[in-house]
Amino acid sequence: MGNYVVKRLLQTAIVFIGVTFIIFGAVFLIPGNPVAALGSGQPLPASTVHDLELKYHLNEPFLEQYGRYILGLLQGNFGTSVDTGQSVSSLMAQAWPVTVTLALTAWAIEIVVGVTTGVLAALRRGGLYDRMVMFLTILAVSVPIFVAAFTAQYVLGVQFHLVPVAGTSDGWPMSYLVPGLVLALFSLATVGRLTRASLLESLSKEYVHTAVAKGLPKRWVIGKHALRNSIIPVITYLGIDLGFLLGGAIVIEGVFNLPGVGLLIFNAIENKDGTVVVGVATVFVLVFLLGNLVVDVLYAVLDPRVRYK
Amino acid sequence: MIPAWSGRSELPEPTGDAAEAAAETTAVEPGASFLADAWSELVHNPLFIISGAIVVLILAIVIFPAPFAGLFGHGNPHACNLADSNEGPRAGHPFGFDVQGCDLYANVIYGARPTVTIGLLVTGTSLMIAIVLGSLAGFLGGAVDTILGRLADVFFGFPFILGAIIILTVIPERNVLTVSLVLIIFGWPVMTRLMRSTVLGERSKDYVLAARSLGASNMRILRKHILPNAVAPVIVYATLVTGGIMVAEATLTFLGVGLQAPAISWGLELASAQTEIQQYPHLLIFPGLFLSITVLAFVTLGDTLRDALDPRLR
Repeated sequence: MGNYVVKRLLQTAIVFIGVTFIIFGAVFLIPGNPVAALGSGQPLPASTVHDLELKYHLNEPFLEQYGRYILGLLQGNFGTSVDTGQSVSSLMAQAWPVTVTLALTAWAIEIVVGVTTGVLAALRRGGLYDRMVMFLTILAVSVPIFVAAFTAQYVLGVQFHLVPVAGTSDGWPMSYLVPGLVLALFSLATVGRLTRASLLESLSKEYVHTAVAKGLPKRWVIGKHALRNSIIPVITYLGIDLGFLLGGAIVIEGVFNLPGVGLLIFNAIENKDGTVVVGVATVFVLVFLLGNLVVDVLYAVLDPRVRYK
Repeated sequence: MIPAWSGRSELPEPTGDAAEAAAETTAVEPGASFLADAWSELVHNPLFIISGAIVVLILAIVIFPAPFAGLFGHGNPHACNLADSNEGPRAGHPFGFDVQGCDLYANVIYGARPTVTIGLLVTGTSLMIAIVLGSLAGFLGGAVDTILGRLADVFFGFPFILGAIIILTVIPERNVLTVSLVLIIFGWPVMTRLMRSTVLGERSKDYVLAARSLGASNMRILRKHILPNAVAPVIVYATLVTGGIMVAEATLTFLGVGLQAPAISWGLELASAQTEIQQYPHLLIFPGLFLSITVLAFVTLGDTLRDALDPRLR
C-alpha cells in the first residue's frame, strides 16, 4: 500500500511540473505586454516601462522566469499582479471561497439527487420511471451548461423572482442554489446512470440471491449487500468530478456574476495579467491532481485488486 | 455517460431479457454476421430511427444551408437592418431578429456548420490518433507505453475548460481549424487510453498466440487480428463523445475564446445575446434549442449504437 501511494505521488509530481510548464509557456506567449496594458492604450515613458519590467522580471528569458516562479511557488508565493499591484494570493483568497462554495453545493446536489435517482431507477428497471430517468439523463448531458444556466436564470430569477438573478448578495444558500443545480446537471445525470448500472450488476450477483433466499427483508438485501458493493465506482466518479465541477464553475460564474476564480482568470486574461492567470491555473491543477490522487488511493483501499497489480 | 474505458466491471452482464432478445434476433436471421445482427437490432429501435433522421437532416443543413435558410423567403444571414434590432418573430421571420437586426432563422441555419464540422473533425482525428497510438502502446508496452501514458497524464492534469481557455487565448486567429486543434489536444488522451486497454486485453488471447505460432509478424498480428477485435469500443465511445465536443465548442465560443465574428455560429449568437436575454428571450431560445437538439440527436445515436454493437455495456 505504501509503495503504491509513493508511486502515485511521484507520478503526480511529474505531471504537475509538466502542466505548470505548459501553462507558464502558454501565458508567456500571450500576445501583448502587461506593462503596456497598464497604460490603457497610452504609451508609458520608457524609464517607467524599464523599471516595471525590472521589478516583475519581465525581460528575463523564459526558463529563468519559470524557475523563479516554481521556486517562489514552493515557498507559497504566487507572485504579484502586474495589473493591480496586489499579491495573487490575496486576490485568490477572496475568489476561491466563492468557487468552492459553488462547487460543493453542486456536489451535494449531485450526491443526494443522483444516487437516489439511480437506486430508484435500478429497482424499477424497465418501468415508466426508469425510462423517464434514462431519457432525462440524456437530455441533461445534451443541453450545454450555459444554455441551461441562462434558461434557469430567466425562468426562476427574472420571471418568477424565486431566487436572485445574479450576484452573491443574498449569501448561501439563496445565491448559490440555482447556479449549483445547473452546474450539477451534467454530473447528476452521470451519477444517476452509473448508480443504476452498478446496482443492477450487483443485484444479479449470487450473494444477493443467497441473501434473498435466506429470507432477509428486501430493504436489507439492497441496503446492506447490493448497494455497498455497487457504490465503489460511484465514489470514484464523485471524487474525479469535484475537479471538473471547479472547471465548470468558470462558465457558471460568468452567467450568474459570482466573483470567484473563474471571473478572476477571465479579467486577468483580458488585462494580460500573466501572474494571476498562472497562479489561478496552478491552484486549479493542484486541486484537480490531488483530487485524482485521493480517489486512486481510496480506490486501492476499497478494492485490493488495484494494489497488487 | 459511463466511462467505458475504465475497464472496471461496473456495468451489468447481459441478464435474462437481453440474452433472450439476442437469441430472438439470431432466430430471425440464422447465421447472420455480427454487423447484420446489430443492424437488424438498430432498425427496430425507434430511438435510432428518430435520432438518425435528425442527424441526417442536420448534416443536410450543414452541407446545403442555402435552401433551408431560404424557406421563409429571407435566406441571407448578412442582410441586416438595425431598425429591426431584437424584434420578435413576425411573418417571413419566424425566429425574429438578432441584436444587429439580422434574420435570426437564417443565422441559426448557417450557424450549424462550424459547430457540427468541429464536432466531426475533432472526433475523427482523435479517433485516428487513438487507434494508432493506443494500439502501439497496448501492443508494444514498455517504453512506448510509459511515455505515451505520462504524456496523456499531463493532459489529464488540466480541467478541460481551463486548459482550452489558456491555450486558445494564445492563438492569434481562432477559426474552425485552430479551435479543432485545441479540442483534439485535449481529446485524444481519453480515446487513446480506451484503445490501449482494449488492445491490452486482446493481446494475450489464444487467437493471437495461434497467429504468432504460425509465424505471423507483429505488424500483421496487430493489423489483421487484434485491431478488428479491439476497435469497436473506441468507435462507440467516439460517437457518444461527438455531442460533447460540440457542446465544448459552443461553450468556448460563448466564453469569447472560440470562434470569432464575422463567423456565424450558435456559440457566437448566444454570446452576443447574453446581455439582451432578459428583455428578448427569443435570442436565447432559438439558437439554444437548435444546439441542444443537435447534441441530443448525436448523443442518442451514439447510445443506440453502443447498445447494438457492444451488448456488454448495456
